[in-house]
Amino acid sequence: MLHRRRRSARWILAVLATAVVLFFLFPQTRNRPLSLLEAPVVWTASRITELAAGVTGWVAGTWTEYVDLRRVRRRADQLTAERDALEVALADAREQAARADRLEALLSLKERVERPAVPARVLGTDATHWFRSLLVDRGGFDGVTVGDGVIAPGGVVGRVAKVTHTTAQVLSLYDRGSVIPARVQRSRQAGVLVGGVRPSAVDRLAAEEGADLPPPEMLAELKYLHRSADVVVGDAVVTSGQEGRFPPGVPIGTVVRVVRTKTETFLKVYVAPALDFGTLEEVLVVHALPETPEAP
Amino acid sequence: MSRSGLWLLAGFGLVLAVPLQVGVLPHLMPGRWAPNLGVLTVFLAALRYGEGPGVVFGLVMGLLYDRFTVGEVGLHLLLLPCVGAATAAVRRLIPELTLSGLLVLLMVVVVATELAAAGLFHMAGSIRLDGTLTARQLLPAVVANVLWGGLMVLLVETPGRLARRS
Repeated sequence: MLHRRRRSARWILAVLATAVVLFFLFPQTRNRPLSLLEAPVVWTASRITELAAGVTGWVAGTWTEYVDLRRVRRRADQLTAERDALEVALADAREQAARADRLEALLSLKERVERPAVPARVLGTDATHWFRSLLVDRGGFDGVTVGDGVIAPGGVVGRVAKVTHTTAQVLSLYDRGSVIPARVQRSRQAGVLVGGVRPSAVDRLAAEEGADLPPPEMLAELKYLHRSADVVVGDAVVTSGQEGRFPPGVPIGTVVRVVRTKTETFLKVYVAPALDFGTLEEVLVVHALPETPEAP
Repeated sequence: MSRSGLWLLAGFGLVLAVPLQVGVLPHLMPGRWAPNLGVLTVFLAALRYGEGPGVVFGLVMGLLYDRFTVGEVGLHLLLLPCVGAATAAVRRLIPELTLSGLLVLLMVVVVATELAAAGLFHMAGSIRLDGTLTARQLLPAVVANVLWGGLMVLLVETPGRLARRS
């Protein structure tokens, strides 16, 4: 049995070898049309080959897509993290740029002031709601004294009311205790700007005239202007520099209402300060000019 | 409440209240709508621990608040211990105050404190009392303090009451 099988195997091998040899010896046979017996075999084989190629391609494509998808997902996560980090960095850069702009404006103001001044950072506001003051990070160690003027690039802030070694409390010009020598920039009429406008007076005025006035806590009054003084709504008010604590010409605000009465000697001039105190971050504390010794 | 609660309140009052009041709250809410953490801390201390801690808290908070305001020095030093003493006295006289009673007490304390502060500042010449001004200043302050203080009272009082009831 075994012997017969070996013999038939030899025969098969011999036939196959002969076929291969004939195939390579007579290449012209490749160009002949397929016989009726060959055609279905070749057709079936080619369909199977196509199917196998298709399945292999599909599996390979799916796998590649899956791998690519994972890679894309990883990349997307990485890009999202990078974008978040960049957004933070951008916000930080914008903040730094804004701070640089503010400090540049403060430095420029310091150079314009031409008197001893120290820049300070605003730390907070008053502990109670009865006063409008700011806490700054400069105090007695930096030469700050009570009464020093405080200004910002946008205008006058107020004056120092309390000093410790390292901090100072600045009374804003809205506050009742604030008194600043001022003048109308256009007509040069000089007066005194006082904070703490009486709310009922402003409310009455607004009701009588139907005027749209800022809230009383955001107004100051320019006092001691004679009723014949040349001042109109919209005039700019600046420091007069008379007292020596504030340099002259620093903007204070704009006249929003002028009340003239025949019975009173002085005008009531309401001024809306130029600065928004809620947004202040850096200020300049201006020291009084040192007294020059008298010549002998 | 335990001794650790007292230290917690003291830590909050002495370390955090003033920086929060001066540096943080103004950025979060307009000045008048910010609660007065000093008054609320003293109120809570007096409510929970009695006259001694109430007055001591009042003194320390008064000193701190006087330091961080341009108003006359000594006003808060005078006012806040009184808040502590008065609150603790009411609590001692009426030990079984309900939650709504506590809220009413808080409202009375807040209004009285604000009125007293306004009066004292007016007498000292720092502010000029005016009906409109007083109403404009007082109303938001009272509302803010009662709301925030009420929340703090609820947080402090409710667990103990629930435990007792169960």
